[in-house]
Amino acid sequence: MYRCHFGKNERKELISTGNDIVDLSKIDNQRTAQPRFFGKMLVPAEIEMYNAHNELPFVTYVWLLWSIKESVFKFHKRNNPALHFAPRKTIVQELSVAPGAILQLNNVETVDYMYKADVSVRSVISLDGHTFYGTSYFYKDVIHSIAQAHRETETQWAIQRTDKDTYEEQSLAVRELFTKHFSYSNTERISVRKNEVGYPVVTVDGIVSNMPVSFSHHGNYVAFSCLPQKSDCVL
Amino acid sequence: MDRQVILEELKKVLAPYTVNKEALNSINEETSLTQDLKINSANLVDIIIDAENKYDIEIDMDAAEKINNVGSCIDVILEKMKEKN
Repeated sequence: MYRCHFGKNERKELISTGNDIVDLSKIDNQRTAQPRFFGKMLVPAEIEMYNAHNELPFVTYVWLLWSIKESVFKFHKRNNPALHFAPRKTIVQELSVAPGAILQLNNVETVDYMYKADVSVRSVISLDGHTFYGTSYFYKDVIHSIAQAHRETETQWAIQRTDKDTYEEQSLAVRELFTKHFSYSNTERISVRKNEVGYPVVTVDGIVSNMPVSFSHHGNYVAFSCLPQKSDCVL
Repeated sequence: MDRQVILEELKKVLAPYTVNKEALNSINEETSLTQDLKINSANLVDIIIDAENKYDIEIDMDAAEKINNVGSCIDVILEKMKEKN
């Protein structure tokens, strides 16, 4: 039996998950700081909002918002397959940076594997007439953002450092990370494939599960988020 | 400008962000940047800026959001070049 958590009042039409990671060591800081660059990612209100959060380096702020937007896109794509990623239509309305976030960002220890941590940033996002709730985690030079339909949803997630650098190797690594998250005796029963829209679908004993899962990778990190449903607890 | 010429030039624009050079060499207008070339979404703005520099155009995000494959990328470049002239 694996860990099962359920948020209250899940709206059936929005059962989904989305996550995104940004490895800041792979980011071009100079380029990010150019208005021409960040102006394609953020709307003026989001640029203005930085004044209230300037405890974060600006480049970190820009990529934090990008990772939040990307995680919301992945979440909503499952409900709206025709959706294209539109960073300036995915608006971060509110941002709340936890007191310990800067310490997490400046942590000297490299993260090798983690599946729980204190939330660094909470956010409220709007897209396509819907409101989403984001949680982001800072681990040294990595930002990991997860999108949820409700503030109180308990999404399961994990992140792992990898030396693999090709898409295929990282794709395999994130799938291994996901299956390892469950008890070892069950890993053979779980597999993941991409559907025609491009998001991952979990199968258990060859039967499609209704557990939404989202994979991400960037630089030297792979991560997933998932939202087990009650019917998945038979594993 | 001919679409095939732009397609060939786009290979150079996309090269720094594409690990699979074999896939890059065989792109066509249907090739998806993220699904087929496996370009990380974190590099999408880099590609737009590089294309702007290459063709001396400005690609606003409304236009950029239409880009999902090589063909739509060529459409946007041609549209913006036309607006410039």
